[in-house]
Amino acid sequence: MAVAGLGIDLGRMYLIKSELQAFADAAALSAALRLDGTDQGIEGARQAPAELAAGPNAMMWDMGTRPITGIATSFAKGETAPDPKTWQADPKGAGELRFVRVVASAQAPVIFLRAFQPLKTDAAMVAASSVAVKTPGTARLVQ
Amino acid sequence: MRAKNSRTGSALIEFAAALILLSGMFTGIFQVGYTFFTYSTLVNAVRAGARYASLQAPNSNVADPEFARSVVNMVVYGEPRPAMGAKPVVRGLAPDNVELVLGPSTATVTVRGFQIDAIFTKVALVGRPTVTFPFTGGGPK
Repeated sequence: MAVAGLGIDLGRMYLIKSELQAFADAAALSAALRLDGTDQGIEGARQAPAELAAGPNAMMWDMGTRPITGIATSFAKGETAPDPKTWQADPKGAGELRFVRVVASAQAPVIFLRAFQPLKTDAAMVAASSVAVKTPGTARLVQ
Repeated sequence: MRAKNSRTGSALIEFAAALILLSGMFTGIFQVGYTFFTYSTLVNAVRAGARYASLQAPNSNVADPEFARSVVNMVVYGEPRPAMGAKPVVRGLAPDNVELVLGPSTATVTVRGFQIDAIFTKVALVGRPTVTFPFTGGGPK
């Protein structure tokens, strides 16, 4: 019973992770494409993930049934790789920000694993992260 | 002698009761597990197709039906030009189940009219999973 429960809950978490990962990849690319060195570019990039999570073809989680709401977008400078010291969620001045990181997270419901958790909560955090970089005329995924 | 026989009988009844309970449990676990596994495979297949379209669209004639066919093949078979007799990534998945919608700068790939057949139950998927990627061109990933 415990093993079966483990399998079902972990399987569900793994599935949710796949869904969030597909969303994070698409959102990071959409956001990076909007970076143009201006503050409007940053604002547009910040809105891009939310647009993918809404509308008739919104990407969702938990077997495509729940809207993705836990979205964190941050920006960084860098040449070939993002400079880890420059990550910021709310940058002042677009400057040389070229990298966008989108972290999508959700509280995956757990049924059987509850018994093994110290806090006995009914959900476990599942998150997926993706980084994209703006290049001249386009964007690509880096992580 | 009679006592021994009656014990054998109750063991048989217990076994039958346990069998019903266990087979029900295993069936349930199989259904849920298989459904999760299949859906997860579909999410990754749809993502691969949408990303393929996102990479290829800027350098392709998107009005050419061949382009849409290659994207759909990427979802169903995992490659844009599969060999004859290639097996779909998910049992029963056919090109007809995959919908590609191209916007001015985005590609949306959606599974429509497909059922996950977990033998004892069927899960109908109408419009999920769906993945939208912006056009980027180039790039390895």
